[in-house]
Amino acid sequence: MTDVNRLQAGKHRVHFPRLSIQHRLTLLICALLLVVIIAVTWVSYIGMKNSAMEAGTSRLLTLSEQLSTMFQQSARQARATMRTAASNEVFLKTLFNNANGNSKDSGLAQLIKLQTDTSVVAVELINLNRQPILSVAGTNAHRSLNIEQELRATSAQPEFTTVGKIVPVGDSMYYPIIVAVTDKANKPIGHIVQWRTVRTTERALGQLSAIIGSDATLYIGNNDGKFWTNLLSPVALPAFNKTKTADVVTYKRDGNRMYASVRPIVNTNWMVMVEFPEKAILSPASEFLYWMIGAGVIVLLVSILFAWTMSRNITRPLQELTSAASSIASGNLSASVPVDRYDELGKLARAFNAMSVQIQNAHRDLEKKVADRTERLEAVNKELEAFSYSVSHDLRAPLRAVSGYAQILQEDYGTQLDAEANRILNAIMNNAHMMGQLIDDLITFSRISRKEVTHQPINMRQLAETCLHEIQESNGKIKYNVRIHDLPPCEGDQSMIKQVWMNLISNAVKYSSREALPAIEIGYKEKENEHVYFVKDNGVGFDMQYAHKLFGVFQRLHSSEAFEGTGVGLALTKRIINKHAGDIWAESAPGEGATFYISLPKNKDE
Amino acid sequence: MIKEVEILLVEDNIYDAEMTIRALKKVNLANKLVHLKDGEEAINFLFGKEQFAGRDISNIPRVILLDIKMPKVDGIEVLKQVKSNPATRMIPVVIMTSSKEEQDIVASYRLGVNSYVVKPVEFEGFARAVSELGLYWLLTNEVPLSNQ
Repeated sequence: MTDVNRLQAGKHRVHFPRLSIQHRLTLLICALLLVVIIAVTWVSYIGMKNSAMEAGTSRLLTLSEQLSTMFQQSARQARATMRTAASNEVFLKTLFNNANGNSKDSGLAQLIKLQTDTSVVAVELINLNRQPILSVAGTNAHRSLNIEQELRATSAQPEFTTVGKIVPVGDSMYYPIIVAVTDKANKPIGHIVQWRTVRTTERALGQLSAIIGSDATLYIGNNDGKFWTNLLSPVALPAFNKTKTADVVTYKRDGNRMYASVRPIVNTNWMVMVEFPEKAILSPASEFLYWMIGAGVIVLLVSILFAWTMSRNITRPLQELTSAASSIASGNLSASVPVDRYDELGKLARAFNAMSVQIQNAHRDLEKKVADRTERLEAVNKELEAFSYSVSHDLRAPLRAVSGYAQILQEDYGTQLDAEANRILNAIMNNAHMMGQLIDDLITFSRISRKEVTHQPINMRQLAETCLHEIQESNGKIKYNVRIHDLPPCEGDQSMIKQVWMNLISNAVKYSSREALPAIEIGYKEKENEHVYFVKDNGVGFDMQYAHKLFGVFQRLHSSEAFEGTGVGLALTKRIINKHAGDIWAESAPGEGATFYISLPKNKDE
Repeated sequence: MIKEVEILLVEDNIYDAEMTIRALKKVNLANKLVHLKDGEEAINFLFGKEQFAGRDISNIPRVILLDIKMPKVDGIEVLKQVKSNPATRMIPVVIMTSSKEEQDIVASYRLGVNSYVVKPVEFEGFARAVSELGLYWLLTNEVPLSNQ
């Protein structure tokens, strides 16, 4: 996990972390709006439905009442006609005479008058035993129909008239209008029965439906509820259920819910029923619902557009900030964001720009400081360069002269000088040589300190063998027992690491040269993050309490009479190893040889 | 063809010069040697100017032994002029210097030096180096008969 990711993982959990704020805002607004639209639509739809139901019910009631009144009036008219006809004395006479003589003809003439229109299919005068006295048209079928109840009830009816129940005969439907023929004491002595057919033309029904409305259906039925007709043919009606509103019933027909109002037609044996399908009643509510859904969709689309624009307005500055911040992160410090608003985002943008300017200033200051320091360092470096250049030239020339003239003196006048003078000349020459060595070592040391380390793969085994070979060649008299183990390659500055091997191996050679069987071992120890190489000898060794002095410049643990040297070699070695981010240390005891270790960091790929 | 001058030694340090001449004498190579004290003198000598006006400049040395660090005109400048002039371009130039400075070595070879020798501090080594140089450039090395 990188640092950046670690910063991002906070305790707070974000839902849908991949969703951008722009989408999130839009979705949120739309979801809220959708809920509101649905709620409002539903509540208003329920309200609309209730009021439509109320309106439908009251329309039903009104219609059924009007129709009932209308039928009641036409029934009254028919009864009045019948009563007027029945009060004609000719029927009384005919009944007394039992349809004999003249009264029969005049009675028939009167009966024929009662064939008022084509719907009258038969007119009869019957006695109390229901024996026909006179009859116009009609068939035996009519005479056999059960109208006993109506006949009995007639005398109790106003005007001694009854509109009888509708009776289906085959495809036809008939109903009787019965009037009692009474004597002087208003006692019925017979009845006139006018049979009418329930027959309506489509045209008449069309007119009717224009009055009651095309969605309403009219039914007429007997008041016992056992027979109903739509005025064209008998119909069967399903069982009713009562509704909350009195006089309104509901039932299902052909899968559709129907509402109907049933009313008795006063002074008849009939009832009138007006039926509305629920769909028709609720159609205003349904229309409203469709309208609301349409409007809701439009509102939703508009608001999506609006929310999108709005959230873009909010997130655009954020995007600009993000890209500016990324730009700064990738090094373009002059990135800034446009400031064109005064809200929180505007403040943020201003703060960001201020921060960006601060960073630029800080960066510029830092650059300047670095440049200044570099310049100063370069100046110092140049001085050092010039210094070491002078040292290598100007110190060596007089030294050469000292050494040279001492040599000349010895060559030209050596025979004239005594032994002591010759010893002194030798001392001069030796010291001059020593001084030259010191100068060379110092210059090498200062040069290495200033040199940049390059990194290339080094074949350590080959390099160590090369160094060993060179050293043994210049130091050929003594036989050394040398063991070189396998040395894995490492990375570093080839010329510098060669210097390290030269110093370590020549030290081992030098300090073991007095041993009877000088032995040198060059080996390797594996460590987790570094290569550790070592050079071991069986020479004079040193006391570990002086180990801290080993790597100081001009520090020596042996006199130069015992072992020659300037005390720069190990200091130089340590400097090189440190420049490679490695380490150097030694283990030894006097007379038991010494082991020098160097560690170099492993390449990350290894 | 016998030359008037076989070795031109340009060296400001009189002790170094004396030791150089001594070493060359030991191998009998110092008979026709001219010693000049700085770069300016060397240039005047080679191109017949100032105090060397009228010198026959077609008589060129067989080798120039040149120190680097000298007053007025240094060895690098002399080398540059010698190697950029067609009349002197063919003369072998050996830089003899106390320093092992990388920058000097690179500059010298870039300008076309023929040898670059670091003078050892001890006289023995120095004398050996000088005599070997003299022997090589005067006796072993073959140069074109005509420099033109």
